[in-house]
Amino acid sequence: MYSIIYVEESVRDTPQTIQILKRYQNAAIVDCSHYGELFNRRKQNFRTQKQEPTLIIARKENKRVLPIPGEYAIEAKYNFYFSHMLNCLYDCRYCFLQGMFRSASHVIFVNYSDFKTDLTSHIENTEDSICFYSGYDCDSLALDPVTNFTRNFIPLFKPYQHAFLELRTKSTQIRNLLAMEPLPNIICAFSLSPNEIVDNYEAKTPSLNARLAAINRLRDAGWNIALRFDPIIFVDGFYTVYKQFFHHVYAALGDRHIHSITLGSFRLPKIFHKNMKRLYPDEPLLINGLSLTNGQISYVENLEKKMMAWCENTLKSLDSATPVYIQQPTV
Amino acid sequence: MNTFIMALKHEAYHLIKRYRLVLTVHQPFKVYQTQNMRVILSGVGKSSSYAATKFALKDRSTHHGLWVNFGVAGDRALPIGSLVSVSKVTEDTSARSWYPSIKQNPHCYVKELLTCNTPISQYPLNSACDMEAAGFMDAVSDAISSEHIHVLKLVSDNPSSGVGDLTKILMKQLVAENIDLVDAYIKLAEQNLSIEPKNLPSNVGKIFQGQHFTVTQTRQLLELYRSFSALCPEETWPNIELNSRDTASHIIAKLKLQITQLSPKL
Repeated sequence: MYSIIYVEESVRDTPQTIQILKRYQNAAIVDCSHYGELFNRRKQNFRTQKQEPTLIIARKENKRVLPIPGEYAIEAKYNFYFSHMLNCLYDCRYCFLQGMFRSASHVIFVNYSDFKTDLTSHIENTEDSICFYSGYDCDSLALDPVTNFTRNFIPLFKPYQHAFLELRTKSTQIRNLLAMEPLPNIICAFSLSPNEIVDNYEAKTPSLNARLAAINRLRDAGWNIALRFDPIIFVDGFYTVYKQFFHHVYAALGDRHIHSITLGSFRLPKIFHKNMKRLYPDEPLLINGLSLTNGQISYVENLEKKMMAWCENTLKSLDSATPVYIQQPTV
Repeated sequence: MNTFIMALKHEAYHLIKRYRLVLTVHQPFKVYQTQNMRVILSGVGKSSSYAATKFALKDRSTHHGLWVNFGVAGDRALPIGSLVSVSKVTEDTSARSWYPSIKQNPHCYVKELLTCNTPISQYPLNSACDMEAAGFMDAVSDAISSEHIHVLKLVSDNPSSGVGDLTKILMKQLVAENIDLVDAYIKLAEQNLSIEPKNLPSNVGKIFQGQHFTVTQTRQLLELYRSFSALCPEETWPNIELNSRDTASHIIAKLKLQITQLSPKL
């Protein structure tokens, strides 16, 4: 898949790097001194790079575990995110990463032991509930066969009942998870969208049915499943499309227990939206019905309120037992 | 338009011939060009290469094409005539590095390159060596999107046939023998480039004949027009009233308002 791999000199000989490079024996390997030389350089085009992304294997020096904004929290008292990877295999047109990063290269940080030290220190600093989100700057599972992220990080949570890990994904790469003992404090959170959205805006992702099948296999194996309906996107025939979608999801899941549901409408910080519009000036999704409010680009107020209220009510009518959390930035 | 920065006429000779490039500029650097391609002869050394690249960058209309530093290089291991797509350029004196784009293909090696101040006979262990690429990269990297920048080298000398044996005839011959590979490489490199339209369609542009738009306003107008086209692909121009007193900023404001009013209804 990767024809060019850049490797930071500091991690050139680590077992993790060697393992990854073994999978790509035909790739050109290029040494670099710091991933930022490539990833953060000024003149780059995310859209062009996305057609054929390169891989960068690097070390994350600091700021490995960061607090998330309060409004994105679900149940835990303390909430953090960490990223063993930057960028994503998939190419979702609404994804904020396109506006946040200058480069579409995939970066894998292989110094897992440093991440684990930081996570452990956060966990052991509190007896209150603490949750870590791993799918903010990447899809948690999409590259799991290469990174072995789950096999490396999930066992860390086993001794700590008050610590939770959310894996946020659209992927069906669940083989590693199925081979492990399920833990009650791991949340496999699947992002789901109607087929109309998957087909038009979620390039390279598994179909809705493939995701639902993966969910069922994980749930049947004993893993916690959460549903993430975020972003909710305005489409023609919105009510019909989303009604059919929610019913389809619940028909597929049957009476399997769901940990939680989050709902969020399409929204972006102004600067990300500006960058994305520059990349895709002809994309109606980035224009249609959006307005600027308090530094955020989102659907015009009435539209957003109606969409979200309708989705929340519909979901509650289908499933009154699962808590529904609304994801909305507070300004 | 693709831009090639090359040190010597002998290296460029067969490119000029093949693409029928015409000498259009004599000073400060010789420029050979057609509509789609130009070769700028920088002279030898990284300072010359830097200066020629800066000169070439002044023509902003060329910024969306490929920018290629092409020429001969020495290498410890590769046979004479090998084509190398350079993955990393390091300047020997400062140890600064740059990363040109690379395109892997079976006929082309991928290798690092060291740019030296003088010809050398002790070849570096793991990289090819030349005298220009660092100057090119230094000049081009701040101005051109990284996917457009390539450094291509032909191995002209190695431990068994040193730089002293390199003649003008050999240089010409090496390029002639590899010109099809270079051409194929360039075609491959061009494939992924996104060429965004930079102007309004002519029928829409005509509406504004006689109006003065600044560079920023022209960009805003193009962006707004593209937003409108994305939302209303069947229509050529929004239904807004323009009159002769409307300034460029009035027109932009009216267009913005029109697009806002296209909000969807549930």
